[in-house]
Amino acid sequence: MRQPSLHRALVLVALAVVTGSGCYTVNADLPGTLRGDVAPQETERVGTMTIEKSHWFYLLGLIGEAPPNLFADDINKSVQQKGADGVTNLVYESKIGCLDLVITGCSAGCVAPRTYKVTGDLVRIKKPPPPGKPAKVADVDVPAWMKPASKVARVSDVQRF
Amino acid sequence: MVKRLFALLAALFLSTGCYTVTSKMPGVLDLRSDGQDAPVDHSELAQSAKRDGFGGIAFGGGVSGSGDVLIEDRNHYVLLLLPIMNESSSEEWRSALGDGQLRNIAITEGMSGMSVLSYLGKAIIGSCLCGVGPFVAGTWDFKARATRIQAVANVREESIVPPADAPLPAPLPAGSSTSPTAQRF
Repeated sequence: MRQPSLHRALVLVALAVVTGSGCYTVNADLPGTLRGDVAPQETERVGTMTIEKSHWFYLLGLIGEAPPNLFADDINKSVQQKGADGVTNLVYESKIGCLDLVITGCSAGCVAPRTYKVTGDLVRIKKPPPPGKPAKVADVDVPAWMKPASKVARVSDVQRF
Repeated sequence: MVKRLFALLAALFLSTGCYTVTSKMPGVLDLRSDGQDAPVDHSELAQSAKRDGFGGIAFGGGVSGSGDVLIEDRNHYVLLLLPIMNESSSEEWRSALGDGQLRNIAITEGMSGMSVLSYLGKAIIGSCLCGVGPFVAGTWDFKARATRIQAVANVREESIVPPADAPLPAPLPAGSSTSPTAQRF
């Protein structure tokens, strides 16, 4: 008599966990602002960006939520490295890929990875930015010629007169 | 025959992957500003962008909210790998963005409680109809949260840059400086 009630309780707990928390949950922030007021001719393409990441979940995706900066830092780095201002044609894609399936199958669902991909075109934007602070600067080596020139007039230029 | 079918299915799974979610975002992601100083746009979104009732349960709630908007899109799959109905959330993104701007964008995806219940429902119906319920259908949720802001340009930054052919500033006459530092001497 005890066995069926125990099974029922376990099934109920599993259902409650799944419906309450969800599986393979990702909460990823995107840096900057998404703008619909910039026309294609107001941008200049300087390169492309492809970010591919795999995140490992456990127990069929029940455990192991992805960090909020899953893509934000990489997007920032890509943009900075090319001296761009932003990204257009942004495509977010996620799937349980071939290798992920093999790992999930071999581990009987104990380890369950999922692959994420973000692609886009890196662009310079001719329109001024909206008011606010710049997106968090990533720690990358930017060539000197790519660093933006200071927009404030130097004191020495005025003192010359 | 069964072995061949199983091999074909395995090959399909391995080549395409399961529960593929694709979201094409319109517009440009501008990293020069987080838009925190821009005023929030509280204007109402088009009612057609929101899905209520059965449509909301089946395909997600669409786009809802004013100011803080929520994009909800529920994807359905045959054999867990072939997306059918409501394949991409691009339309929802377009409705939320329009000609404006979005800040604080957060993408959330996964199997939520609702998608699990939806999957169970389809599996039961599928089992009753053809006996292969659990494999016939899969469900995956895509959500995005963002704050709509008014498209206001940062005019301060624009005004700092002088045009290339601008005339040089006129020299100041000696002793006429109004700078506190200069007056001290």
